[in-house]
Amino acid sequence: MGNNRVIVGLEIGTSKIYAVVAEGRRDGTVRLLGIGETPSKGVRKGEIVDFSTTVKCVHETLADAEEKSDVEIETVWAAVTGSHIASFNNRGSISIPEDKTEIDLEDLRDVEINAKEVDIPSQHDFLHALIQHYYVDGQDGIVDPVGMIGTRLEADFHIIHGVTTRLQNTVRCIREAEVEVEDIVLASIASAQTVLNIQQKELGALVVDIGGGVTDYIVYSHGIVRCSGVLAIGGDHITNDISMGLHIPIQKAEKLKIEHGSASLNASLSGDTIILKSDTGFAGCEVERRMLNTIIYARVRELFELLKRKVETECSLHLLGAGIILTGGCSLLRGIKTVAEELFEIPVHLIRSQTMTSPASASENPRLSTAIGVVKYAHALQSGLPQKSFLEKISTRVGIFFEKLRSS
Amino acid sequence: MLEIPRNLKTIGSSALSRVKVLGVGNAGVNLVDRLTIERSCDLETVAINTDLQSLVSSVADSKISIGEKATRGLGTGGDPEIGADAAHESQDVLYALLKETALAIVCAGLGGGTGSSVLPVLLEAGRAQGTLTTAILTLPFHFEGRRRMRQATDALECIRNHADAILIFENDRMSENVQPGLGIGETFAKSDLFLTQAAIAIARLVSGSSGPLQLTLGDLATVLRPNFGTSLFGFGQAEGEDRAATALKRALENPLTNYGGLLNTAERLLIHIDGPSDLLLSEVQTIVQEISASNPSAHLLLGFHVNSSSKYISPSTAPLIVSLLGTCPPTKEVSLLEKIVATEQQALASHPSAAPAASIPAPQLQQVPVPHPISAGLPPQPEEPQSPPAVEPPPITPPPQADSPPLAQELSFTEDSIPVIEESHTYEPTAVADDFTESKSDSMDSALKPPPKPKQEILQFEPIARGRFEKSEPTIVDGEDIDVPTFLRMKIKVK
Repeated sequence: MGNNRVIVGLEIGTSKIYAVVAEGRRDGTVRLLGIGETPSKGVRKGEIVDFSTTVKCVHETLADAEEKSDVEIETVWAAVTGSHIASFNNRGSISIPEDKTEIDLEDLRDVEINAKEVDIPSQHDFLHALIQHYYVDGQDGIVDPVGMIGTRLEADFHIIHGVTTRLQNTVRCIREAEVEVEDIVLASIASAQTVLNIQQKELGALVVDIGGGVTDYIVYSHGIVRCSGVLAIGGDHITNDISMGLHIPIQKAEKLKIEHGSASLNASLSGDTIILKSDTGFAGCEVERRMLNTIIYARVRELFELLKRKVETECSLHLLGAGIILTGGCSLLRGIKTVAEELFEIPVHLIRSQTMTSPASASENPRLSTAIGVVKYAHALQSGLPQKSFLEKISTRVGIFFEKLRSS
Repeated sequence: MLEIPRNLKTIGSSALSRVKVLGVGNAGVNLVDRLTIERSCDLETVAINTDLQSLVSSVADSKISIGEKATRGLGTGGDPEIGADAAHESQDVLYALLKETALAIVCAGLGGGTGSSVLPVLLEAGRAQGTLTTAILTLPFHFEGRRRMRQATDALECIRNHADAILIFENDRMSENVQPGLGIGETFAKSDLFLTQAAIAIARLVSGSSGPLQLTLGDLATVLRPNFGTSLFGFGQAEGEDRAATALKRALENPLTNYGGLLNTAERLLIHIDGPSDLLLSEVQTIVQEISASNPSAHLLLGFHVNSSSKYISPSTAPLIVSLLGTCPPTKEVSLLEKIVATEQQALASHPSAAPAASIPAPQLQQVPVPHPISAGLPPQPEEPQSPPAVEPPPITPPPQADSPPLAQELSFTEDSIPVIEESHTYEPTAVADDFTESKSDSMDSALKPPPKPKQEILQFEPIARGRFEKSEPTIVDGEDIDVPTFLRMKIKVK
């Protein structure tokens, strides 16, 4: 094992908790070492409702991950979500004092603070301020103003905020499981790192991560985040609908949804039925496929409509060159792509994630998009840090020889 | 309600010339050509088109070119607006065509320019002159694109109001019957074949059934009422031993009867048997009994025809042909979209004042993926909170009041509840996005929202309306608790 950093990403989802252990390579890619997972029991709609149970589940997940990756986990990066999370775009602007020669990092921080000077609800706290554009003296298209001369620095940010206590709860829960939390990241941002490549971020894409409890979405365009959000509708809602509509228990409904469900109305002929065998506490029954699909279709359709409405207020869907990418456990639902295409009228793709040099099955698993994305995000953030270790500095200057030395 | 006594001209023995089969547009002309070639009964065929080339190569008895000024003989290029111009231009010609015609069977493929726009004019012409009009229509394949499908369904709505009887075929469903390995030419040919058979069946039904059982135009009209639901058409042919049972079996194997499934729900069924001169009563009996066994409550109308044409060497080798025509009422067979739209229409009908002028795409057939109706069911504005404490709806929009027919009940699809659609401009999905401001008088949403009271009924009936979300905080979006199942909020009948 070399000096490659080990990064652990943790996602406390509504249906499953994942811990992804990976090492970050110098070239920017990450290599998966192991993935721990357990069913999640104390989470509803993306938020922790049963603290102690969730702590136990997190503990189990981390133990599982440690075993699989043969790495001791001490700190994690965590993904957060929840319908309380809101976001908006805002521009900050500061004037550079005349005596200052160039724009530096401090100015970047100041302009960010300025952009955050917006009234957000008192219980809320800022989660992310993602830079979109810089303008120096009105000139736009500036990618990195550090080192430039100017009198006025402006910047557009995509600012994300959420209820402080709820965000803290996630962190506290993980701490109770005896690991430290290095930082938190919004789930949709994480998913986007897994799912989109640079071209797609440039062309413009909407990533929709439909999980068990919530649907996270984020829009990238010209390489930056345009808008993001969380809808509190997920696979659980579909299962619940099925359970209530067909009068069968939740577990049966879930199984039915996964094995037979389809969001496409065309898929079934009338009269086609599915037979559910009787079980303890459940007398068998016959379910008409068409009914099942209708219920699923209604819910999926509604989800997409709400999503469409929310996204269209911020940015026009037709400008997204790379279309829509569906990920998350629910994207495995048959026919969901058709419903999305029907409604959004732009190309919709299902997940095949890239740049993961690891067992293909994990990276192609849409359920893991967020957890893997956390790792990628963490790695990108850490390798982007200006301070390099002394040894690293030497190696880049001197060359391969030292690198080989270090990595042995 | 369908008014049949409209000074219908009677069909006499020489009235075969009073039955005309008209094909409008490229698809229609193709069909009519096929009929002309294959015909086993003497029908007058007319080809009508804007595209001169297609007319030139047509073999129909008479050919009418329309809209010469609008299209310069080059066709509409799939543009219904040009088609409308053409129809307008040649209105007189179309009127003259149906003069003295008792039954007009009009065929067209919807979705393009000519068929979709000219058909309503033609049908109107027929109605004005007392002709009974039957329309045989096709809806485009799914792969032909959304725009075509939208044009087709718009045209269909218009036609529903003008024709006395409609048979609708979805190309998608017909292609289900074709083996996967079949070439595309053959696939289209097979669909044409179904349509031809339908046209012949209808024509045969009323023109000279020379047996003790005759079917009248009235029977035809009653069975194929245009606003009624899904069309059922089956066609089967067999000869030799056991031909009756085999023919019926084949007729039921047709995807347009949903492989026999639709038969069970049909309310009225027209059975036509075309047989050789040695047709036995027992054979007729077999067929009818078989059908009424699977659907005892259906109203069966039987007609038969003895085929005495010299086409066959001897009468006994002539095939026995069973044709089934019917409509099935829109019960749970009906697609989700239809149900939702039907609910809206009911709500509208009970509140004409609240009814906006914009049209609602009326019930589509199954499998037509028209996205509009569900959006209409979803309340786009923040109003009328649906959560358990039923709040008085804000005055922005006049919602259907509590005394409206409880929408939670089974959809009763009576003609009375279907409002006449005045304008037929398409519902634009983008209107949904605009709905953050005030209500729009021309957006179909508000009046169509489920009123709070029926929701209360549901809550009483099923106290656990949120299932596993019972204990969690409700998620309210636009005044609605979206933890409650979507199908419940949209009043979609399940089981």
